[in-house]
Amino acid sequence: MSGLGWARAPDLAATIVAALFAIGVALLADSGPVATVALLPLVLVLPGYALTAALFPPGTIDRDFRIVLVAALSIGVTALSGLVLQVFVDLSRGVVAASLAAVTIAAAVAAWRERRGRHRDVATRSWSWLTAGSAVALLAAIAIAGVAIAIASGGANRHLDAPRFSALWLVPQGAPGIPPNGPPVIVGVSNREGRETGYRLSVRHGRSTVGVWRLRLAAGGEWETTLAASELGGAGPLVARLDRDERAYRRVALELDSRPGSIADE
Amino acid sequence: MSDAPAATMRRAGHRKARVEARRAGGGPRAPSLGALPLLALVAAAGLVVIALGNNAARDGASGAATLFWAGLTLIYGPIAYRLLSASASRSERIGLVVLMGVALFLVRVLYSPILYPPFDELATWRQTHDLLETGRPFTDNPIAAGFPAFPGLETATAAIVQLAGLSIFHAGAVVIGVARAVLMLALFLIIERVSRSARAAGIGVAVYACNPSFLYFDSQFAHESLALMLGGAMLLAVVSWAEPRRLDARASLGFVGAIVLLAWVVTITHHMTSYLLAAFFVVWALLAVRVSRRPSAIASSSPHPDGPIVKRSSPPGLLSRGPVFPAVLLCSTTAVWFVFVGGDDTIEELGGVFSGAIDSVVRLIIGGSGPKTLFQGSGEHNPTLARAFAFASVIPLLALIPFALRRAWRVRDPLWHALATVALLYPVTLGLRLTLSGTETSQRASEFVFVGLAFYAAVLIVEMPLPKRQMRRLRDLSLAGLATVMFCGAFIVAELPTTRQPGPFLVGADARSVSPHGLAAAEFADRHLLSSARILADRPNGTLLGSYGDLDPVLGQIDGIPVARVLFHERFDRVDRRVIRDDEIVYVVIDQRLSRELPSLGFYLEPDEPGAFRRTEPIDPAALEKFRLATGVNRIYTNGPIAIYATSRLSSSR
Repeated sequence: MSGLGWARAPDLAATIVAALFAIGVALLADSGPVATVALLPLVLVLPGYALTAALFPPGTIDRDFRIVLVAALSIGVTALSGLVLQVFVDLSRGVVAASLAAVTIAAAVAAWRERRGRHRDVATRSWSWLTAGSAVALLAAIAIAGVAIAIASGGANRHLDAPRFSALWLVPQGAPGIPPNGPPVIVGVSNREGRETGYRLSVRHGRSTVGVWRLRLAAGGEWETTLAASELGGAGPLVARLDRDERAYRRVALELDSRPGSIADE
Repeated sequence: MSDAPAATMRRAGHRKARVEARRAGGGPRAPSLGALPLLALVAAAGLVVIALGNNAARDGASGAATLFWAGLTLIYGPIAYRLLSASASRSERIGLVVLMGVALFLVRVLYSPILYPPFDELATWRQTHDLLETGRPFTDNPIAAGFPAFPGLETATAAIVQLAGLSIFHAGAVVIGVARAVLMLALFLIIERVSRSARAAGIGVAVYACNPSFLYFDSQFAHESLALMLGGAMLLAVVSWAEPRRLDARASLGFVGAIVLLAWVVTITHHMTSYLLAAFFVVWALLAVRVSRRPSAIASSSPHPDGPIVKRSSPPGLLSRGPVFPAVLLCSTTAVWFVFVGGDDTIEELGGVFSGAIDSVVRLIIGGSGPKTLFQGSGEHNPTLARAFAFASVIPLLALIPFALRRAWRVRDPLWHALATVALLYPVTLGLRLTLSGTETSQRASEFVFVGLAFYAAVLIVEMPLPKRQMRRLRDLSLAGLATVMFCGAFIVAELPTTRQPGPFLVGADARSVSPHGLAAAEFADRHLLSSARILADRPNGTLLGSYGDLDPVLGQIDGIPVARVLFHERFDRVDRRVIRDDEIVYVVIDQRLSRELPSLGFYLEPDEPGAFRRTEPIDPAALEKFRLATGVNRIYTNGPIAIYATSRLSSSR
């Protein structure tokens, strides 16, 4: 690469390599830490860095302004390219990755050509302002902020887990119809009591009993069964009753309609 | 002239230069982090204190608010003090403003660290979710009708979800966190370029953080949080471009390219930000045209790192380098977007807000209604101390305005005048707070108006005479204390007492109304109910079901009848049936807890519902119980407080 003058622009070479690496990772890994580390910069840094380099050759703007533009243009290019591409294709993972990598590489090449013509040296950066003590303090601050988030997350999770309840449902399965003209009915129970809990579930259709189940669900557990349409031929509403600790606890009901086609056209 | 006087004059010159540099906030020449690492540790400790305070608030324990305010003070106060100091270096100041922005963004994260609360954030969540499901950014949003027309945030967030494998929640936090950090840097650079002082820039950013929307509203996973950063970047680009210095054609072309890109991105990301930014450029351009017609216009001689300053007797060409091009450009992009994409949605969303504000003001002026008590809302009352803080956050800024105008008058720079115009809007937005409907407009205007206020506050502070060394620390401490009071007071102005911290369940309080029951119902709906079926529910549950539950909440009116009537009316009558049938409502979600207390925000479903903000009693329990016995309505799900009723039998009896 140095033969092509890339040694003058190691930042641009690194940008292109990072974009290509990101594409490689996108092909191989859907998620996980590697995908996060490799692909996050493809949205937040690389397109903006390359575009800023193409728009502003070294020496034309200061470093701080460049940082603002890198972030703003990265997010901006992601949004604008998505807006243009959605006219032609759906915004799938491959489309997004390929478009961002293409913008990055094209802009980096344009910046490199510009830089080659200008014969301007890239300013070297010194890290002398960052002492070991400062670095340790900043890392410690980040760690403490992480602790704060962990404390808050723990509190929020406890808060959401605190109420104890169980849920009962009786619904037609996955379609607008109600039996016997529609699909079967699902009856289900979920246990959010925070402990293993015993239930008695009974389902009646009019005066006839469709079924009685004695359930023991672990904390967070769930139970469901399907009542086939053939079992639901009687008259009157379908009623599910859930007893807990031998006492009536929850009740749901579904009025069945035997008129042909009466509900299915909802 | 002998050598001795010459040396004395040189020394005096150097001393003067050092004083000037200190005033400008240069501090030590070499880049240095100074107190930044220490203050980062203090801010992190402040976050831990807030996290503990929020946990205490969730448990209803005492001392929660004290911990929260102590944490906020720990974050803001020391950084503000250091930014006021003349000894900090420019690098340190930049680090400090970014630290302040990120730490205060994390305060919002600590409020709701595991999921997004209603309302705006879940509306954005739904839009992003649908984009990921369909690959299309313009799908209808049943929670917030105006959201699909401005897909900038959702497109960027969805890209991170798709590529980096993060959840929408985490991807959104990354985008908004980055946006917050960059906004702080952009504001710093804008104020520094205009005032020619890094110290003023740091102080200006600290004052900007005192706007009521800064802590929570602008940290949300919502369009404006990202658009502010993009708008800040565009303003910075224009200010840098218009600076009186030599620019070759290539660099000018770079500026034009960046400005064009940023104008389009701001336009597609947020209506209000793009309109107000365009208005600002128009004002600046008009003032520039006026100034350019006068002899001996702007002259600047301060050094700047970007290049040599050119002394000149007239501003740069208005069309080639100035606010006219960005004004025309942004007006054009927003007009094109309004006409071809976002017009209807924008009118629907902003029209109601503005017409409500105007209507309230007119009624206030003609005596149709009395003024609302300042900094009180929806039946909730701040204690006297909190109200004192709220007033203390406003009075210094109001007092600042005459001095700002006097200062602006002394400068011939149209950008200074444009910023003074923005600052002048502050009393107007404050006046809107005297009405209930105008409060939202006032709140949403604050992040824009504060750019002008922050600039002049910073300039006036920097230009205060330097007291003696021992008094300097006292002055900085006093100013930092005042800034901290303003910061805390602004938060009191912005948030109701019940929404400042998390806590036990409350009715109609958005984030405080999220309960495990609501989440369980949404989870059930996602798995078992018809996708995108229309539901009638109170706002918090409707938002949860409209996002995590993949259903479409309905609002407004049908055939002139408010849909909220179905929940409020004591009997299930023909009108209710008609509303359900005609509005194609498939499920009605009833939360029995609605009858326990009045809604914290003043309404159950939407601000336009009958009785909103005027209720003295909560919904009659009979109005919620009526569905149990109603014919044609099936109770298909219950988890105790929440029940879901299917209305398909009503449809069948049509």
